[in-house]
Amino acid sequence: MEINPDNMQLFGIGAIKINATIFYTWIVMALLTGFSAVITSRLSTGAKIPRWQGVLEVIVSFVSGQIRQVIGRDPWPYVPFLGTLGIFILVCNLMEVVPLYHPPTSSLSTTAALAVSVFFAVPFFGIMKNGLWAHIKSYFQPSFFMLPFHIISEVSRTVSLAVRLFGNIMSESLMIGVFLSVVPLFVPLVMQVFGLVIGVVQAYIFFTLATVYIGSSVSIHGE
Amino acid sequence: MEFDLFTFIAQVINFTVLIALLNKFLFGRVKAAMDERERKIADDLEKAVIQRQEAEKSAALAAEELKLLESRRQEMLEDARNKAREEEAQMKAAAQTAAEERQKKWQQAFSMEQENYIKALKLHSGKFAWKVSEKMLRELSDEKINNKAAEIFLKKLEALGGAQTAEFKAAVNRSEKPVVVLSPFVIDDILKDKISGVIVKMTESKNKVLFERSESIGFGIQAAVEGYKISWGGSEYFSGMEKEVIDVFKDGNKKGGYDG
Repeated sequence: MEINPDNMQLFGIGAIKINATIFYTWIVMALLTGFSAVITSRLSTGAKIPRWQGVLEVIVSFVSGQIRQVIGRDPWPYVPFLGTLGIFILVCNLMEVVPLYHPPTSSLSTTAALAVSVFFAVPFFGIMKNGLWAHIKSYFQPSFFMLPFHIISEVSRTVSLAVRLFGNIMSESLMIGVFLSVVPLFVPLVMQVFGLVIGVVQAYIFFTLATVYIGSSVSIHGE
Repeated sequence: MEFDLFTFIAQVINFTVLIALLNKFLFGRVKAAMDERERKIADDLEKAVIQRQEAEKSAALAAEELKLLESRRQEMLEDARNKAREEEAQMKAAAQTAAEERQKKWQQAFSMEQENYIKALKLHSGKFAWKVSEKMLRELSDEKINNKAAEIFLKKLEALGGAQTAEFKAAVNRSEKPVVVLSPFVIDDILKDKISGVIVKMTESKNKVLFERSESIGFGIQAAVEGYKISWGGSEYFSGMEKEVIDVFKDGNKKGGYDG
């Protein structure tokens, strides 16, 4: 039984081999983009709005509200990155119930890619908000000797982000596989529901931690 | 726990592309729609505030207008009351005037009635007294009282003062009509001639003297020309009685002063 979608080669485009991770990522991207494009093509600004627009507005409002709570300032500069991060991970995890689907988040390559994106997003937003010098200076706070610890902290939290998400989703997929082979009825269903809950929680954790890291970067020390 | 560098790079690119796509198709558009709706709501709220302020202004204006109307109403009521008072006073005055007018008319009518009554009383009393006197005189002497009356009138004519004679003369000379001697009885021819003679002598005119009978003069004799009259009769005696009767009419408790 193959549990790493990176090793599942589906097809090739010339010399490039497309594995399940990339393929299902594209599927999720296509779904998210298509769904958004279709719904937002006819947005209403009146008092009455369509049901799907309401769903999208609830999601966007929730994301911006969470970011505002954590960062404590205008959330809109961070919504595209953090919102995409949260929605992508959530949809990847929730689609686990679809037969033959392999969640890209069960691949360390994907979770590492996401964690590295957060790793680079943190200084990017910090520099955008406070300037390069202020951001660099923050690594020497409260003293010069704190620089290595700051660097270790940055790297370790990036690794922890990647491994936490990968571990949870991969283990859950593995457990469902094991249960399916041992007890084919009823128990896998319970595990699927349990897996959905884990998927939602992990998406929320990843999103919240990324928000906290970016929030700590954009906030001036002592603010 | 395998790590595939190619997949990692591809996923970084995929995620970056997904950020761009969702920013374009989801977050940007939804934010724009939400901002637009928020702006509309804010505008509506602003409009509502403005409308509320306008409504409050209108309410204040209406209240002020109501106050003004109320004051006008009070003024109108006061005016109406004043007019009513004036009209009432006018009506009262008119009624009083009408009442006074009626009273006056009634008094006039009463006076006329009284006058007529007294006239009639005088006439009848005179006649009655005349008849009684005539009867008594006839019984007392052989002379007729009518002739006696004519003689007394003749004496009165002869005894007229200078001023009266001049007025009578002027009246006779102004008129082309004859002097009319009125009496309620037939005067003896001899006396007629005497009276005519005296009148002609007095007036020095050639106007005729006519003798006519008239019951309207009551009791006595009267020579009249151009509104000028010389008369003798019971009316002179009865004028005292007339006064007494009027006094009795005015004051019912008054006793007549003609007892003796």
